[in-house]
Amino acid sequence: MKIAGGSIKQQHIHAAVVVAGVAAGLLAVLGAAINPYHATWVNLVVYTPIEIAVGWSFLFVGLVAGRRRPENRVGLLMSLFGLTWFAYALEWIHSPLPYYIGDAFRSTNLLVLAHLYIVYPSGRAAGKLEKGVIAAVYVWFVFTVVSQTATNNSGARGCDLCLINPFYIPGTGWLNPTATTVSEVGTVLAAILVLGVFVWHWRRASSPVRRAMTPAAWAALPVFAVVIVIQLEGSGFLTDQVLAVLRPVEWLTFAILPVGLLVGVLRTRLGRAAVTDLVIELNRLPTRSSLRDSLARALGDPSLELAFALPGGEFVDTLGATVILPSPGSGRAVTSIESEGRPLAALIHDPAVDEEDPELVAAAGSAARLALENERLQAEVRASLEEVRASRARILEAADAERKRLERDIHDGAQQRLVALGLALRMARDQAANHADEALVRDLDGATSQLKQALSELRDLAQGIHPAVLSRAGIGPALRVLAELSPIPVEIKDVPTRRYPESVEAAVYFVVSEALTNAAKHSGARRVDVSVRQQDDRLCVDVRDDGLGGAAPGNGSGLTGMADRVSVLGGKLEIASPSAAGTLVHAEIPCG
Amino acid sequence: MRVTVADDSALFRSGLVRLLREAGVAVMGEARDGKELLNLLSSEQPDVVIVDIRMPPTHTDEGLTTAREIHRRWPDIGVLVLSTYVDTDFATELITRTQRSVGYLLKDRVQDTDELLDALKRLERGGSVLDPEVVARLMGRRRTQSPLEQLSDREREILGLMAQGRSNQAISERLHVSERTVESHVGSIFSKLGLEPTPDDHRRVMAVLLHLGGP
Repeated sequence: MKIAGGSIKQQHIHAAVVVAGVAAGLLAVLGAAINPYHATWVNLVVYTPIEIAVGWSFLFVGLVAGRRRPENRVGLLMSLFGLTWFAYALEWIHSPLPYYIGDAFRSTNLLVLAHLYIVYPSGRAAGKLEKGVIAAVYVWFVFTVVSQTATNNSGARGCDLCLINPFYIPGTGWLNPTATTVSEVGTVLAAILVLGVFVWHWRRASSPVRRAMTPAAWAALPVFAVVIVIQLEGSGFLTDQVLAVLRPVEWLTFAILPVGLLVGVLRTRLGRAAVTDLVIELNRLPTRSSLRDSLARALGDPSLELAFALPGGEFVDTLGATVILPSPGSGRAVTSIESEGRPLAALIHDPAVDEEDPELVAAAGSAARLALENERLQAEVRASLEEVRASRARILEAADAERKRLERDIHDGAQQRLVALGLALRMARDQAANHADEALVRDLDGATSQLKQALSELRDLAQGIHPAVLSRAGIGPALRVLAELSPIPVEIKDVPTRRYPESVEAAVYFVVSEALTNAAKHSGARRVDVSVRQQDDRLCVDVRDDGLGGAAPGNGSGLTGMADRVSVLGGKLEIASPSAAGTLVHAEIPCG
Repeated sequence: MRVTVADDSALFRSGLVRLLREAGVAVMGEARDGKELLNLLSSEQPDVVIVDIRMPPTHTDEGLTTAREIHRRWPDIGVLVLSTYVDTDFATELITRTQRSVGYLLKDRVQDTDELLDALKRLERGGSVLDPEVVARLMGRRRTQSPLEQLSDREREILGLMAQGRSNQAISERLHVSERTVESHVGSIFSKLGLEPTPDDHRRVMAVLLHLGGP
């Protein structure tokens, strides 16, 4: 797991902010106690403790969030809110400079809050829009602070305790009411804008992100409502009685806010808890799919895919098939898991998982490293097996092509030559007969019958190497030829009429041929039933005889070779041959 | 009789042509494949064409397609298809799908000049020819629970000769019995197999083959 140097620096800043915030809180208590305008018992007993509690709760929640997610700025922003919350306390120092600084910056906490909600929960501005809104809010804030403070001359109206504003630009006092109105209207608009961005994020967020955003959203609604209403104070719509109620309500809503944010933070913490669950789950020897499922659950991303690195740098899925990793910007994110400096696996996931919690993916990946290593080895073996299977298929294809070529060579060469020889013998015999040479006629007749025998044997040989009828007409006619040639009566029960790939037809033919040969040789059967049926995407071949049984594929029966041929095609061959109950040769061959 | 020969083996072709000429058959032309044969036929039509089933370009069943094409364009020409292997389904299909004048013989059968000449003559007359080996296999196909079991040995023999495309007269000569005897056997065979009697030789072969080769 990576921990950037920036995050350590951020942690120091965070610690400083929290210390400053605690100090500011204590100062606020002290200020409230000694300020002659504020030191009423209601203030001291009710409002001041609430204010302190709200400020400090932000510091605390920020601290918790910061410790949970050191790289995420959300925690720091929460604590900053807590610190800036106490800015108003400067006003209780009865001296012009701190008073007016406090007055100018008393709304800084709202600025921090706006920033916080725009970047919640990732801590980073997601795009140009977000960066633009943050910049606009900051510019707006500076403008209101400067415009209001520079034109505020209220302290010069001649009251005893009034303080003179040291930042006042003489002659601008008449602009102050306008500046205040502009500031209030602008703040309402900014609040609506920030709320809009937040809602927009919420609608687009993935479910784990939403889980973190929802409590923050509920907590934010009253705050934003109250902030907007309070801005109307200057407009005269609000009576003093209403304001007297609104103030405590405002504090109360702010008191709710850290609770919402904390719940959100704790909910993302559930993601971390899922990693713990994952570790426990992985110990229960997961199967292939359940490792992926466990990781998908831990990361809250049902679309998660696993890819395993092969030594050659290629990636394969759990079944050993090649996987091309998605490139950046393709809408899928890739987190690479390494082991001893070598790539081990890659998690292909929704980029939102990264946005929500960049370290969660790496943490889950690390937790699953051993299981992934195990899976990777299995995937590697499967990929090798797949390669072996493909190579066996190529060898078989080459062998079949060779058989076909050989059969054609025999047909076009030796067979034609022998038939022509037969014709020549026939003519020689006729001539011998014309010359009444009976001895020569007998010799030539003998030669002719030997030639016929040779032709017949050659025909059987060629047929056995590769049956021409199979290529020409398919399984049905080829099996009928086999049945005709079988010394035991063969009944062909079912046979498909359509054509299949050459390798499939050859496998069916040779399985039946071998089974019939075995039945004729060993079984003593009186009849054999053959059936070939297509079931879904497989051809089921059954050859059943009523013989002695007791056949086994290992006894050099030729069925071993057939089992190999069938398994190359991804099928299986079974032989049921109980003693004295006949033999059933059953093959299932995928036929695409 | 005039014959044209098509086979891609020059050796076999020349042997066959010599044999035919010695036997007094006029060989009008030789072709190496179906296309060349059709070209020859369009200028001059013989009585019978002898064609190898396996010829270029695909070396599978050019003989069949060529035979069909010949029957379509020149219905009077008889076609004798020669095959190295016994392909029962193919032979049955060839005979039953063609209306007349078609034959199927194993290639080494042509060594027997008399058989070959007999076959050519039958084809010239519009009859059909089926290799005895094909007939034997067809009759052997269903050896259990077959209506063929009801036939007597003699009837079975006659059925086989009928299937080869022989007329009643040819059968009677071969078996040294009277034609009347053959006729009565044929009637009995047809009634036992449940077939409609037909006077036409080729139709008779078709009926028998459809019965033997049927499911």
